[in-house]
Amino acid sequence: MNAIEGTPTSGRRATTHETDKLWRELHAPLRRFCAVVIGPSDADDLAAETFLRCRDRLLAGQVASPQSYLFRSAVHAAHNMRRARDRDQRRTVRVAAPFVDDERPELGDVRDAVRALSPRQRAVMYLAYWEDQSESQIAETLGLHVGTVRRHLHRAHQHLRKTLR
Amino acid sequence: MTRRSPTDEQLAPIIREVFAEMIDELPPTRAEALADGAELVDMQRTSIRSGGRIVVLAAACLVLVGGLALVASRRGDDSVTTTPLLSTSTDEGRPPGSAPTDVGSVPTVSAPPPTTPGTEPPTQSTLLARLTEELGGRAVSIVETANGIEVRLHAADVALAEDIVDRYGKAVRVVLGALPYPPTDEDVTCPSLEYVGSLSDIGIEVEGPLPSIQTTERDNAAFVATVTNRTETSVTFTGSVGNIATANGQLLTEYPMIALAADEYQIPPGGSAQIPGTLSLASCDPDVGYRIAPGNHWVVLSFYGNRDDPGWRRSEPVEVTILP
Repeated sequence: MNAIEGTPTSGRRATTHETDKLWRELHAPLRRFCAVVIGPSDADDLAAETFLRCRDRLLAGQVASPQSYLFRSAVHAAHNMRRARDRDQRRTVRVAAPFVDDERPELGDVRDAVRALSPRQRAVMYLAYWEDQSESQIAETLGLHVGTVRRHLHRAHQHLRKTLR
Repeated sequence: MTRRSPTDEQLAPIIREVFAEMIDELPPTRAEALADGAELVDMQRTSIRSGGRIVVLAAACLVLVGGLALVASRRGDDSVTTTPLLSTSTDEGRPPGSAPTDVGSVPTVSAPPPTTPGTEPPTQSTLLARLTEELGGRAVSIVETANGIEVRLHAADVALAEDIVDRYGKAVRVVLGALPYPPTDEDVTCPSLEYVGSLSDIGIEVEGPLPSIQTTERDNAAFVATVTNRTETSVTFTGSVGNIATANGQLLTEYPMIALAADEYQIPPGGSAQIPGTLSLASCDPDVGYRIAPGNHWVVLSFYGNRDDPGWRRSEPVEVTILP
């Protein structure tokens, strides 16, 4: 679990006023990013949790690029949420009767394909296709090596092409 | 700009379309719901004699009619994406009285105790990971602070707080609503916004009593206030929160974290508007307990101005009934 990013180091509790101001500045892009990374129904929870984790460090002025810092933290949090959900789902599947969905829509549905990508792949795709960021910009935003960004993009593309065939 | 192959160029519009759909599916804020098919229906208005005085109970409920509007969001346009009005819960995004979306979907807390005789205690990060997995959506927040791990729960989750304290002891600091659990000698003060004045200073009046407020097991609850502009110029607010208070305006509950930014509400000269907002039932006064009990209370509303006239202004206390 990489949640150390949210460690408050300022030694004081943020005031409501400061939190309010910071949230006003940052919530809109963060919420959109979370909608893509985790899905719309969990986006608000993910955005709020991410913001709470990062708040103290942001308010202490220790972060050069607040939006990039929030995006990175959101990807980590999304990954953890998804893992927890998968575990929960596996438990459910073990006790539930097998379910065969005969009316499942075409597998080549690109929506399903995008939703099946990992949070990090979705984050990279979002920054590339929605924010028009270059590979090096994406690397900087998410704190990854350019090579890693390239790999995520390549795998995501491969996955999407496969489903589109 | 990322260099893409021709195949990627074919994919690009489809991917953008999918992302646009996902962003458009973000749940609407209360304000959008009100603007698109929701109406405030006055359910009953009765007078009862209580302690020698007449208390008017205006019970109203927010009825959502028809489908909720999707957030009209365009690529790269911050102005059209509106604010999630609440901290880690999404209470106010649901119709009052409906069940919280994540309660019940969280795995049962059944992990083994963190320490056993003869074994090393878990590291802070291991403990953090374990708590995150166990508590899932039940915790308001789980953070690693300079003094250790702090788990914040909804004020009604007393049993869960007790369970965490039993199993983790002092390794985890538990905050129940706005107060430490178990109670400590820690000095607790209700946080205050920085006010630039009162609403009455600028000719704004909040109609009391407020419509009754329906609660869930979460800390936050939604209110809708009818606000009248007594001046000859229009007034715009961009934020609204409430605090349960004493009759003389002393605050008894904290502010709903992050719920502070809201949509824009313009009140014409001499006109009225219905402004939705969020208040927290988490008490910051140990004498009151962890959570405000259902019943008749006073509430202070705070509205944030706009770019030309920024800052918070607060109302005089108005009456409200908190429903169970």
